[in-house]
Amino acid sequence: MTCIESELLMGEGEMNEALQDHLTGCSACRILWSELEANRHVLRAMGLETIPAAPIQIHPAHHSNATPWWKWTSAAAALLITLGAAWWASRPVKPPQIVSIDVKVTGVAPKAELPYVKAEIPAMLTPRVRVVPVANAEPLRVKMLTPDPDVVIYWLVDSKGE
Amino acid sequence: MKRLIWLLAATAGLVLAQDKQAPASTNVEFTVYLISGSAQGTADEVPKDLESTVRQLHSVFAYKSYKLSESFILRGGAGMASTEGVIPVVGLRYRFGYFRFRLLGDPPRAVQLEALYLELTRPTVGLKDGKQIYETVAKINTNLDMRDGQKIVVGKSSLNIGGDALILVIVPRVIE
Repeated sequence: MTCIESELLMGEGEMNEALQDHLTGCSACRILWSELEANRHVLRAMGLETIPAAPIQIHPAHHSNATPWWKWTSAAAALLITLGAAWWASRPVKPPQIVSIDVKVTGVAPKAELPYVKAEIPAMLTPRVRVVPVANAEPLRVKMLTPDPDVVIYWLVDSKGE
Repeated sequence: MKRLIWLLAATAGLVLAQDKQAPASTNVEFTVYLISGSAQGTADEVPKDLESTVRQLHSVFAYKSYKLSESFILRGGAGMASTEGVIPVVGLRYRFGYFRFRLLGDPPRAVQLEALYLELTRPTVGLKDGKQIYETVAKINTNLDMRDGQKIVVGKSSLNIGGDALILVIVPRVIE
């Protein structure tokens, strides 16, 4: 057996009588054999070594299922805001109320000197409330306090201005 | 639970106290004057009792004269009361009344008069089913807060085309 033939056998890790005979007589091949054996041993040892797994933190069961407090509070706050907004939007429009004005009269101006100012009623009080004329409107009642505490004057003004 | 019962009892007591009506024995006598305010004339025709009231009317309104058309007294309990009659000379019929009143506080007591009304009507020319028909000339409907002995003036302009005013002076007197 030549050295090349024995190297091929040694590379495959095979051992037979012919190779043993060659190794006995050839020191170079014996050294190579010993090196290859050492390598195989190291590789086998590396293969047996256990690679440590990646650290995975496993939390206790009650921690993994529980919802954080801030989620509950956020959800409750959102629910409250939504309910509040819904209530605010669904409020009924306030009915027209009887208007009463208390006036303290300090003097009388001649009718001719008074300018005629016609106040216009806006079509919309707010973007949502439309002004609706009331059919049977209550008269406006003006209360006048006079210098005599025992005399109080109420003047009624109809919706027609009379 | 006990606290809740006490709270309910206290609330009920407060509600009852608020809604307490005048005792059945308490009456109020309303002296009523019907006055017309006119843009014509120079002299007032009112009794002495009303001179101070008319003075205040002159200081507030531009009517030149005030004239007493009619006066009457209506005495009633806390419940509904009304009276009616005819105003002399002009021939208008009046109907005066109220729904109820409440007395509040110590003397001089406050009188809360609810649904006071005065309606002036006059007969029309035609008849309906043989009965006289009346048309409304003027009417006043209001609630009033007054004090015992106070003179409350309730007025309304445009009684007629001439722009005369219908003025009602009410003087309540609590009779315990």
